[in-house]
Amino acid sequence: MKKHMKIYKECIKVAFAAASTYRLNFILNCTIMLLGDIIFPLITVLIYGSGAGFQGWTVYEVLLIQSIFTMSTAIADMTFHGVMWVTMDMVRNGNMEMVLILPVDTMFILMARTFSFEGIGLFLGGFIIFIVAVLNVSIPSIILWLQFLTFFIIGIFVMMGIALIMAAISFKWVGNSRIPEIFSSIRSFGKYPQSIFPKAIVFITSIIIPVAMISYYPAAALLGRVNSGMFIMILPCFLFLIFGIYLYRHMVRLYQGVGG
Amino acid sequence: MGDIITVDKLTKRYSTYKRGSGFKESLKALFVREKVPVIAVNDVSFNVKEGDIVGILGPNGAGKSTTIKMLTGTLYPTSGSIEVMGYNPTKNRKTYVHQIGAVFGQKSQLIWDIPPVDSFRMNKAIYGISDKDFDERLQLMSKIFMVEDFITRPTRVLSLGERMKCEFIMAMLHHPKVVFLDEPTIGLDVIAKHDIVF
Repeated sequence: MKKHMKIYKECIKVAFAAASTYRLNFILNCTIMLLGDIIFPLITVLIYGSGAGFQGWTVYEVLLIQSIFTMSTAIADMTFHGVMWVTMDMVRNGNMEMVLILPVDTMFILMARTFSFEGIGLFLGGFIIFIVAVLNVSIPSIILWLQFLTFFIIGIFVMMGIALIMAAISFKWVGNSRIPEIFSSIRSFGKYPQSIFPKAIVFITSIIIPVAMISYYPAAALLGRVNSGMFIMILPCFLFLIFGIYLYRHMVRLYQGVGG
Repeated sequence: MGDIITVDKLTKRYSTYKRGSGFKESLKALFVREKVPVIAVNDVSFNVKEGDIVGILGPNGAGKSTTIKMLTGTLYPTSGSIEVMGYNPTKNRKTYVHQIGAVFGQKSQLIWDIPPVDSFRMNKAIYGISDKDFDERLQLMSKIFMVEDFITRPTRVLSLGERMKCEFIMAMLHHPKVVFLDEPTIGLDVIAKHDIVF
């Protein structure tokens, strides 16, 4: 564990050095990420402003879900989403050997090496909307905050599971540029109140690919809308992550390389 | 001295797809692709004794790089066995690779945007090298390869030869017992080539 912490610390230093080398690129990426992801909550405000909306949900409740989604995405972008991009790239160019010769878990080192500060702007943007939304709903109790935190962390595990599955697919589906789009489409079901979806979709987003845990369940916890079923849904989330880790490791073993 | 590497009937097969050139063939390949089996390494056996320096020679596509990749544990053999220092490279990968060093001349361990010395520090953390050992080895190898002037410059501005010297240092910092080198002298001047060998 101590060794892993040391490696992670070095990787953060490297990420900082890389960010400071290309300062303009860093600032632009931060801004573009912020604008790209912040647009969803703004659209929600416009929808509600025109008199429409999601039945049974106030604008601030929906904003709460979407701000949690934004913060979750930002944390994932900073800490582990890079594993998907770098795996796709390494499999295509045959550079995976350079990681496999290191005496450390391949998945861990790729996540650590792709640590990125660019999600900070996005996180702050999401956090501001989160504060505004929380201040406009009934103030949650400590128990509700704890439930929120638990679901939020498990939601990040789900994000990790999706990223790993997508990265694992890239070993078989070499160089397919559509993988990130599939990834993004799957996650986007987590941006909205689950009650707006048909039961079949809710079943998929709660149990099969539990994206509901990314932001809907944490928001429901803060709003005091949790039920016992939501706690049971923690199990499929853990199983999803375990499956992602297993699949990724299995695909690393099948790595074929490219010509010498 | 005893054998440190034992390779027995090592074989690597994989499948690829055959497709012709030109628009017509590309269009055809969208629907039908002919699968072609490739035998990259065929029934190779050899032993290497401790202390030996052994080179593998052969024409392009003979399977030299594939053999080295299998010896480093980064590729799984289709059949046959490999034993290096008593390890099967495909099992206990992390423990095994801690004992070896590898340079792949056409691939880089260095991190592109930062100076090589920062990449060395990354490997220091990965291999758990003590501060004292790290400083000593880096000083020694910097002197041998005459890299003091440029290891603090970003990797992307270095010449191929300068990068290769740094790749070599990167692979040797943790004091490996066995070193696998695949075209390690690409881009090196004659003096550096001499320094690597001797």
